[in-house]
Amino acid sequence: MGANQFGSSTFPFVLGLVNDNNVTRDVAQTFLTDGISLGTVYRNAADRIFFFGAYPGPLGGPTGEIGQEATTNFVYGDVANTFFDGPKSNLAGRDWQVDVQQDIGFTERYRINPFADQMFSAAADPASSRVGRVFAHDATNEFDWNDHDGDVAYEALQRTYLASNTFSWTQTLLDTPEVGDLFDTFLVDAQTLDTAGTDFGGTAAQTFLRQHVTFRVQGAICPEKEYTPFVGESGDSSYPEVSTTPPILGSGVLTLTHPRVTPTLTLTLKNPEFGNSDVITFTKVDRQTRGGDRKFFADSNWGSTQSFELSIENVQSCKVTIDEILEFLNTSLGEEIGLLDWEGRQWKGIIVAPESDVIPRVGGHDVRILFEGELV
Amino acid sequence: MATTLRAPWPNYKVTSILPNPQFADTRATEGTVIIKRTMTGKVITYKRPSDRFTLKLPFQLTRMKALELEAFLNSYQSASIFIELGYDGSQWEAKLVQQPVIRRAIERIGESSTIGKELVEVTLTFSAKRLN
Repeated sequence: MGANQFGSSTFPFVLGLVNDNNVTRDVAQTFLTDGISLGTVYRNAADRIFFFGAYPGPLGGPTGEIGQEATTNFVYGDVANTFFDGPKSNLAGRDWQVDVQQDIGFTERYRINPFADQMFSAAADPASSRVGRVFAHDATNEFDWNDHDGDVAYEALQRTYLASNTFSWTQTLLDTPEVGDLFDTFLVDAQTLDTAGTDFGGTAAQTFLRQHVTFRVQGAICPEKEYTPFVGESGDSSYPEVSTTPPILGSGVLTLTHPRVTPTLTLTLKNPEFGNSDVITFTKVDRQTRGGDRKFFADSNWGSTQSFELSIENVQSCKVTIDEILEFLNTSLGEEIGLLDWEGRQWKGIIVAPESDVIPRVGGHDVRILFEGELV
Repeated sequence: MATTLRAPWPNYKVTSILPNPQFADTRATEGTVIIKRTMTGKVITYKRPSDRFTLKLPFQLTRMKALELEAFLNSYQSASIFIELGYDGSQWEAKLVQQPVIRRAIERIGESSTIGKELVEVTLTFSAKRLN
């Protein structure tokens, strides 16, 4: 290890917990002062912990190295022995991240992935686009920053400029680290990042090393049935965010309005039969390389729509006549309409198959509507 | 046992837990072959091998879980997605290749009397590479 070695005796580490609602708390500090409620932890189907060490100066230089041993060992002990009793599953690790805070007010994020299987799979696949983002791996289990420095720095810098106040946590020195058993089989042992000959930004004021661990706490609300996406607090900003708040569903009666804004024509039908379907329609480019890999591209600005196929049976003539339905289809032909669905959600879009038959039957008539639109 | 989706692979940001897929989920190779025969009867094959597989995973979900899946797919429809199938432990790096159809259905329970349970049926089709 060189002059820039991370170690528990030199660097203060903070253990934190972020719950599904993105409420961040300094768990270590909370525990030391107030204690932590296990109920709070268990209420969330997928909690995550994070920890990072702070190095108060620029990294790099002729002999610079970052070691992870002290950091991971330290957190093993704390996590395993203190906060999270009970069964866990779906353990997964995420990137180590080195964030360099610079005087210019930006944070440059460099990504380091310590997990050997991902390293190997990406490195073993020359056709993979990920090769440029990972580090070469040699027999001594070291990641060589130099080999891909240009690629990594460029790629990362393009995507992840962060405000410099990202890590304004209170840092707390904890007791002597001790290895727990929760993540023993999960995290990779003793890896070092060789930063010799590189410079993580000469004007950096502070450097952080972070690691995220995700897991699912069993016995909480059923994550296989409820709206419980686990959303990390970092990641690639080129993808749209996934909301951690479930949509609110109500009830309603299928109502079509035209025009959508200040409607003059309203058609209120029955709710559709079971078996109705909707298709999520994406716009994306799909190409297959000569090597057999598949490449996809989609821009978040490219919209996605949903297509509904609704079958409504036994619409009683005394409430809505066939003529009223046909008049609505004719009037709204090719124009945007509003659709209030049976869950109380408002859509805007067009009827894509206005030529669908309206079939008179005993007791009422059957209508089939194909609608393509998006949520308002 | 559950099905775990994580994206974007390998730098996960979002994890979504689904139930196991229904029976009759399928796996198929993606290699292709073109067979030609010469005038003398000799067989010539042109092949394009692939280490990818097509996974079709039919799920039955609650409405709220389906909404979560919609949100997940809306964000990561073009990303590499990590899939772990709980029933056999297989792990895949996958890409969604077909527009998912979300079908609202009702499951009948019972023999002499019938109780209906509303559910959502979704089949996800991926082009996937096995990781383990």
